[in-house]
Amino acid sequence: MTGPAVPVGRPTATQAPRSVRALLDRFLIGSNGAIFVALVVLIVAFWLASPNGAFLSSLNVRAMILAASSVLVVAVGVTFVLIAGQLDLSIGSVLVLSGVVGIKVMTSLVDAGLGDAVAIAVGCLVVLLVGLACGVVNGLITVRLRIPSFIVTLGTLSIALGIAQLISVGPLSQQVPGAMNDTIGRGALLGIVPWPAVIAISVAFVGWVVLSQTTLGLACYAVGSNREAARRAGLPIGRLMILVFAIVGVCAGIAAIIDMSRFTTVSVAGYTNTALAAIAAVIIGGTSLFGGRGTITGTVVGTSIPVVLLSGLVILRVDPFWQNIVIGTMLIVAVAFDQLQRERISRGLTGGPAPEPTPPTDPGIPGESSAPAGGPGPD
Amino acid sequence: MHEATLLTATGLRKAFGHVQALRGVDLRIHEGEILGLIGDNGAGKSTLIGCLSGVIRPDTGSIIVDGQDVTFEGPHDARAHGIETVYQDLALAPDLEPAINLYLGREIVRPGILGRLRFADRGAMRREAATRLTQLGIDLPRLDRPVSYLSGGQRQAVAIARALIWARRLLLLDEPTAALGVRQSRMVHDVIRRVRDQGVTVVLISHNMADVLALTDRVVAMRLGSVAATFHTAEATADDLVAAITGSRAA
Repeated sequence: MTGPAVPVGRPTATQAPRSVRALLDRFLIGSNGAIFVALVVLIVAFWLASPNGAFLSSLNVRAMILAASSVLVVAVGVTFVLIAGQLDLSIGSVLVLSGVVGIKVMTSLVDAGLGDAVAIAVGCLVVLLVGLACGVVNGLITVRLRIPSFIVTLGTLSIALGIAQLISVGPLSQQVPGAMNDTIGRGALLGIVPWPAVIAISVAFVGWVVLSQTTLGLACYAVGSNREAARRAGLPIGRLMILVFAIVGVCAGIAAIIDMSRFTTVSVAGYTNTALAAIAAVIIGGTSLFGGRGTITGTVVGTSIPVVLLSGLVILRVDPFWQNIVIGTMLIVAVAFDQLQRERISRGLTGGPAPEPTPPTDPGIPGESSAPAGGPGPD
Repeated sequence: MHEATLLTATGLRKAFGHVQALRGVDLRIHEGEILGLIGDNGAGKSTLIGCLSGVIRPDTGSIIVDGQDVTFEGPHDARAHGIETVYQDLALAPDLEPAINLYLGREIVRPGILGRLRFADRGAMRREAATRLTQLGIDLPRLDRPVSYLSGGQRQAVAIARALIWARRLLLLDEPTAALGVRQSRMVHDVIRRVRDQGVTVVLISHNMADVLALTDRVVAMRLGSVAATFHTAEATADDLVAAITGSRAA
């Protein structure tokens, strides 16, 4: 099929195992593949080391999934923001604020004599709207005032927390209606999969679809990869920015609903570390801090690792503080890996299976007037 | 060569803060010509191209395409008139594959309901891209890897291909060969001629007088934000062009 002008040095066998190779390539591009292997190794190691394989007992697996669920929801939102080349440090405060407001609404409605069901439904809607509003505010300030989102969200981190603290001082109950804990918090789909996990997996799936399958997802990658190129390509940069912050805001709201249901309340002081932990998990999962790269699958893996580590260490009766040390190390390694890869690529030393043809050929540029360029390109 | 006018710019002014980049530029682009745009650094060439491609909005002045007064709110408006641009700095998204870059902002979507939901059809874009690149005589080793894996020349090829695929009326080239070697530059020149032969008008910014003389039909020399002189290439010498750029002699 290919003409005789196949450059020397390109392995001729690339045609047949092409898809396998492409798959492998895609898997190893970004630290995705390595981190997935690390997760599997961890799980197997803890399983073998734990007494009677208790690590993979249904009870412990359930506990781990529950522990991961709200973090995963936040991390999905963070993935969008990071890929678009932005940062959101305010997520923890947004989670708290939306939760606190939601609880206020629920208790007021219950006091007003409306049923639990109505109170919970309206309350959850309010939680999502507050999250959405916070995200839109972050996005608007970032876009309109042209302030780096790092600074904007550092500001709103403090503002949202302050508002939450103001609201949560008062005579009203700080608890969600008991029915919310009984159903969403402790119930399970078909009695097997806990609802928080169902919610988290659904969010991750929707996030994966949007990011990897839609033009909106492509636009996020483009903006984060080269903002100026995206602008010249006619993409609505401002609206995109506001949208990714809105997405992460709604995710914070969903995470708030999960935690409110599980713990019956939202601890105002309990989320100071959430944004940084989520960003760390997302970066460990192969998403670039500098934008343009990342996957939801990577984020799922990156979110699972701290949870698996903590659970495994506890079961093995190792001091669980080791988790922090290991996660911190992995974060640095992941970023170093990303940077190293960028440098290798920019120096052209990709080590990929398509070496540059011999010097006199200029592969990328239109063939010389007469010579037809090879055969039709593969695929 | 008295041909129809494709685009007329009148009295274009643009200031960036205190810097007057354009001080009232009048420009006429004839249908089907290759127009050279020369000038020293800071003469306003790139700003002018920016105005024509919709990336920069002039402070005052008008742009008329096909006899119709147009206001470009953004690059998409210029594109709607069949105007495409290749920038000095390429402007590709390095983390996306060539096919996606070719279709960025104009993605092919899946058929049916998924298309309505703006689901991108990567397969179709790759196939289309492969066909188009082959038609243009551009051979990339791999189409399924991010652009960052390509060499400088290959990236330039992608950037040019993107403009060529979409340009129906006017192709604006801002120093397309600045980053390329002699040999690669010559190939780009071949492509420029081929594009013109297909009926697309070309505006070429270049610092290389030999290139300008070899390629263009007419040359516009800019100096200090306005048009200093206009030449028919056949009647001009490199000295004339340089003199017009530096202002050492009235042309």
